[in-house]
Amino acid sequence: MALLEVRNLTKYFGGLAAVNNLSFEVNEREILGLIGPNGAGKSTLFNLITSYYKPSKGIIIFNGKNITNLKTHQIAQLGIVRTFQKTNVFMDMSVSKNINIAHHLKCKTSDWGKFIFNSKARKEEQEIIRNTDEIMESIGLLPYKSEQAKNLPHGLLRLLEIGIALAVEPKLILLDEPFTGMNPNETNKLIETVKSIQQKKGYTIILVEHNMPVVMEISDRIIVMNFGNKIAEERPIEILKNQMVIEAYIGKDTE
Amino acid sequence: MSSNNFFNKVRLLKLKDNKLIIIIIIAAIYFVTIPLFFRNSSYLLSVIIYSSILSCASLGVWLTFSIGRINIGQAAFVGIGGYATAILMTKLDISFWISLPLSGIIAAFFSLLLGFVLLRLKGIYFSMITLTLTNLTNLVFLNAVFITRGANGIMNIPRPGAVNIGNFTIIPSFRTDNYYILFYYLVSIILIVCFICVWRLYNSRIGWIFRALRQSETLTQSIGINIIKYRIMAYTICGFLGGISGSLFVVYIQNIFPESFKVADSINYMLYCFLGGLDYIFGPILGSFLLTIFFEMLRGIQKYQQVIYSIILICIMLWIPNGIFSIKLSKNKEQIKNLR
Repeated sequence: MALLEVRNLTKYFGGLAAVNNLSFEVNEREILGLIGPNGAGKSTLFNLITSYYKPSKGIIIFNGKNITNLKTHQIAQLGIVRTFQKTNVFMDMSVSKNINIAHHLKCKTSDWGKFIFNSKARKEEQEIIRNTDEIMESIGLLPYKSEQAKNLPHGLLRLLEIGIALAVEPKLILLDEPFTGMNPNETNKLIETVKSIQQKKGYTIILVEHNMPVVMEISDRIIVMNFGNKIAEERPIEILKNQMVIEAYIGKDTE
Repeated sequence: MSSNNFFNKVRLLKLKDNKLIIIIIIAAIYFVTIPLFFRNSSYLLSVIIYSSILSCASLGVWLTFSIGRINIGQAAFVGIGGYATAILMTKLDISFWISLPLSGIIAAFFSLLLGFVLLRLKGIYFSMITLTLTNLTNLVFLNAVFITRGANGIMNIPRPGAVNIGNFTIIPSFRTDNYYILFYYLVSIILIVCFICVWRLYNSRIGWIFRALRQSETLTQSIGINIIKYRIMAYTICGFLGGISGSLFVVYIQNIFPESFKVADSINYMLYCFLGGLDYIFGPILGSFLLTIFFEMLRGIQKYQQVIYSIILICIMLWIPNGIFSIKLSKNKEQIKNLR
């Protein structure tokens, strides 16, 4: 059984179908690349899966459960987390606090317990602090742990976003163009990080990315979207030869 | 190892040595010095009483600011709390000591209901609707004649009575001549308790969730936090504080009318937060004390009181837009950070 299944998913904005009758599956521990020209509907798809938009048609099934009508935070509780195309972190907090807050789902103390800071809350807090350090270490942010997020350069902010997603310990991570604006060095580091997330922690990843070499290297499978439709779904090597994909990116010969 | 644990606990409590000293000094001023020297100055005491009651309501508004919402409707809940106490005490003969928390709960109940509906609205639309809330409640008070006596208001509300257990008087009766000093103690203790509770809440994980809500609701949702629940929590506590404030007010001036708490009051609570500094929990308290005392000091220049008051407010907004606390120099920034 696939971890995530999207069936006939459609989203209309007025008369325009941003996502049109899209169906695909993601298997556990897979890295699925999602590519396509700008405006193809990739981010819309992420928004649909995580319930920021409600689909016009179609359903989404995660781990055998229909999550189409659930709220965003409930979907996160079930195990889907995303990063955003435009960097989205808590700007006025330190790096460690950003990741600390993301441990919310792991914290089992009641709200009242959190308020009075009882012994259970204290113990969980120490555990969370320890886990935060681990995460920061694994993505290379430990030297910046006390730095305010707004002072960080773009590349580190992207890493922080991933750190926040890791803290939730989801089953499926949706990465929305994480490599944007990264230099070759940062890119290589992030490739290693993403691969280790999949291997060591066993997470499943859907990766939206424009950086073709990266997508080719990381993905197990690639889906290509254009104008809201899925136009190809193959292994990385095959995609390059696919006529429709080439047309979508470069255009058709008009002769 | 055990001493290590102790220091860890103190660190987690975020109390440093010098902060403890400040707290002791403030407590000494409050409960020893002022009563000692100003026992007979009912005017000064009444200014402090008045400021403290306003601080409670402002503290609530501050809490909604902390989740990123501008709440211009607090006077509505102050009014609800006020009428609740007035009706409970005059019509049902319930003691003030029970009416006080009950009024807070009643106001909290209404803010829970309203919050459920209103908090769905985005930023500015939410604020616009809160602006109308005070008028809404005033109209209800005016027209629900059978319980609120409409435009006649409720007068001769009794002052708090004594609380006795057996032969022991825990709280003396306020129905004597020196009730000013008693009220002073009452509102001061309540204000301090409210402040400590808000301070504790804001420094807990829940407080950090509030900060997260203020900075990015989309991100907060996506990491699994139920933003609706925590929004409503902040708004409900705000309503509770408003209700407490109204209850204290009404039993102090011993009457209430539909227009006792107007939109201008809602705006004032907001202003106190701005003046004291939105980033600091103590801000609304400082703001309300300063502006109230300042307004009183201008009483001598009767004619120009409003004008000068307004000019100073404008100057404040131009020069220290982040409030008085933000003026503190950088060497104190580390200490201040712990208050955040």
